[in-house]
Amino acid sequence: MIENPVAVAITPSHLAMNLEISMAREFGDFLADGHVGNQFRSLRIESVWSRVDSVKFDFEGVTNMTDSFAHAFFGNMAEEHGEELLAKVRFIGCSKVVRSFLSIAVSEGLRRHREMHRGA
Amino acid sequence: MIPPMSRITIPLPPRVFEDQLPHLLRSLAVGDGHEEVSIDISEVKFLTPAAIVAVLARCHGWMARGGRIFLRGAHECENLRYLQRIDFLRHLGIDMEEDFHRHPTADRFVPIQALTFARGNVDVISSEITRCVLPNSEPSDDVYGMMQYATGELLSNAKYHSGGKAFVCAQVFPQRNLVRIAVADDGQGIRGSFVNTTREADAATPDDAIRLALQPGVSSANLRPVPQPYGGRSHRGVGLTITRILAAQALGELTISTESGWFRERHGQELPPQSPGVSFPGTLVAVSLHRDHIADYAAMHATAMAEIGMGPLDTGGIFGD
Repeated sequence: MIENPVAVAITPSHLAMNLEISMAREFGDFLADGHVGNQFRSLRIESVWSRVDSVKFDFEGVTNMTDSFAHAFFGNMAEEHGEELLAKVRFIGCSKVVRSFLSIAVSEGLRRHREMHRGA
Repeated sequence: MIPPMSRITIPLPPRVFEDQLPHLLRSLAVGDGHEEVSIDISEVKFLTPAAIVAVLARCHGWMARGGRIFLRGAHECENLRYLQRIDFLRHLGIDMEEDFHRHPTADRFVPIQALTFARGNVDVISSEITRCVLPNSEPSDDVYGMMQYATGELLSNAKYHSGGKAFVCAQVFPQRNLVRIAVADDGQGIRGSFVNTTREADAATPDDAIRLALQPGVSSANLRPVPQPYGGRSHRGVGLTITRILAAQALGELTISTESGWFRERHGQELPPQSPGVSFPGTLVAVSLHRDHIADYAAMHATAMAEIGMGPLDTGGIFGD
């Protein structure tokens, strides 16, 4: 269970609200469990998505991940938000391996998003 | 008149590598339906991780249905200390005095782990196993990364598809530069996981179910008509597929047994099917990797993803410093 979902402060609309998540602090150095990733995405990211201007995911200290995690977390986000994700999200502190996983998961999500919205 | 207790003794073979696994699974199947099953380990000299977790999953299945498990031949078993060190007896619920001091497992084996549904289980167990099997490697090393990845994907599958307890065991064979990992559960089996999904008809037999599960993008969790918790999909159905390709790239093996279904691939080449009679009610998956054929984990993973049609697009400036 994820405890204490982020309580989002109601901020005046003219103030930018930025979210920064330390992935190593939340999940450790190996991001493995897709179910946990999907749960976190839903409770901690999607719940505030429309109210934040930017989301920064810091992968400093993360050495590896599974495709299950990458796709459940970031693939789902890309599928949901499409190009908006590219404008709003930044990945920092990525190793070569982490970058490769993220790049493929996001690309796959974008492909699905584009397929779903083709002709819309 | 009290009916006689139904008992049977199953002697474990002296040596079980993957080649002898079908024979072991057939031997274990005769325990079904008995109230007491004695596992005779007197001849045991070597059991591969797949054999170890298969025996444990089978015994836990019998115990879950009210059966009782006994151990025979412990004092005649020349490999008893090894079985004690990896907690094989403990997981059978057998408490036996040890005439040795436990010491760090020092790059040969790790104790068997039982997988439960607690948060953090998959990443913690995967990392512990990888650290124990490869104590001289760093997390940034290619072989460490691939071992951790394969373990993580196998455990993720077992955690959500077993419906019960799963066991994981790993060993390293320094002479052959080989690492082996196996996960087994006594759950619904792969075919069972496709029941009431939109692809149920494609998983009509256990062999069909294995091939369906190996297809990229197929996960029974995503094929159910009911919405998933938290929306999105927790499984993309690529973990097992990519593990299979990575094992082939690393000149390793992949073995899957579920019900009467059997699949085995070596160096990416499927081996002939086994003779009838293989029976394992849950799911058993074993992977081996050759350490000296793992050169660039990130590149091997990217190649594997490209092989199933998942390559990177231009994601603009999403990556910062």
